[in-house]
Amino acid sequence: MTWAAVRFLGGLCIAGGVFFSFAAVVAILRFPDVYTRLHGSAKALSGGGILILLGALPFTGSISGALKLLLIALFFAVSNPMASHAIARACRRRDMMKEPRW
Amino acid sequence: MPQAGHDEGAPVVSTPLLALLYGFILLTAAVAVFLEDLLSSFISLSVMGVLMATVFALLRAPDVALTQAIINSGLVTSLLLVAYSQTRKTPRPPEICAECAPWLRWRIPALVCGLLAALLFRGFLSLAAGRPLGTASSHFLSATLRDTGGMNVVGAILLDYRAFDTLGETTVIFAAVSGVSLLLSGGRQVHSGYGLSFIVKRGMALLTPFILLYAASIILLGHLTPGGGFQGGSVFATVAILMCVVYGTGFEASRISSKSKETLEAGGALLFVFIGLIGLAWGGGFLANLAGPFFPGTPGSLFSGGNMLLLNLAVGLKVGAGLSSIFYAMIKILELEDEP
Repeated sequence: MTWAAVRFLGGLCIAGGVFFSFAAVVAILRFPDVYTRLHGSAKALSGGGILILLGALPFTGSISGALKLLLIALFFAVSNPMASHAIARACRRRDMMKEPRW
Repeated sequence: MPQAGHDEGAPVVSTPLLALLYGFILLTAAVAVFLEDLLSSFISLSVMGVLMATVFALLRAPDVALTQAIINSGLVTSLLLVAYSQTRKTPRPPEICAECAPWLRWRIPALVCGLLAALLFRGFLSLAAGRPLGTASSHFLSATLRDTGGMNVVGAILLDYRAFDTLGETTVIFAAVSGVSLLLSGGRQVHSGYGLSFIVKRGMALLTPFILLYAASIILLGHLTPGGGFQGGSVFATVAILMCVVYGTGFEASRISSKSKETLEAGGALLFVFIGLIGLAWGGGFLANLAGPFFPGTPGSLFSGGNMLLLNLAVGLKVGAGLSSIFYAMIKILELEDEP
């Protein structure tokens, strides 16, 4: 596989990440309640952020830069489900479904 | 985007991108002012902090970008949230008409803001018309390595040329800690929640060593890479805040007692002044670096830049302990009604 093909794959990943981020924004604006919105907004990071980071890998130009990007992606993959879980649990404990605010 | 490394003063980033970012910053600021819901205002302020950090990073000021990202988006938002949950929600006073346009509702603030903007624009015009910009920066860029032995120019300016100002800034944090502790210590019952769920606790335990390592690297390499005592200390304080939120304040207090925080903070201040006095005793003046007994070392190595490593350590101790004790004083009176 040539270098140009790798770069093309990177660009494809970035485009996919942009699509996921856009879909997350639409989900936050259009979904009816807390849990579905949370489901949508989690995709902004776990789908969008990680895909954009992976897509930027061929453009860093150095091994250390690429490793840093991979570490950041790993951090997202660990921390984002944790944060979504904490928010969803707090919403459930405070019965956010019983008072629909939107 | 043009490559870095050509003549100074030329724009590094494409102007349309910067204009777009500036527009978004203005938009988020306006949204934060005009929203009715305070919580949404906080989120908007946090987004503004992230955008400003992006602008600083694009304009090749990574030190400021780090500070902006940590302080404005992380610490300030959490402090605002704590303050929000601590204050009583008062309804809007009835004499303000809700239907009027915002600039009619707040006439005097709008007037002050307009005057300030006009003044700033006037100053900007006179700066742009007069002498060329960037003469001071080119001097510092060429002379810093010779004068201080540090690779990070911003850090060298903060800790060598302007070290006395930095001492003043850390004293400001000390005053803030004293004020907050004094206000919030009035014999109230200390509640402690049980923290968040098991998953979050285990995940936090997985991440904490890496965050601590990151903070230590920011502090210890502050004279070589972007960062320094203030930024690294804020990351340390972020760890303490996360522990308060995730494990509950009782756990945090049992691990890092507020006594040891006070000791660390005072120790940082003492270390800073002591280094200054060493320079004075040597005959180089208060906080003298290379004029004092400190050696420049090999540029780029850990032990270089004279006393900047020690000063970064002192500022880091002071800021980390100070910010975390501010947050602890604010959050310890919260009742977190979460079962184990």
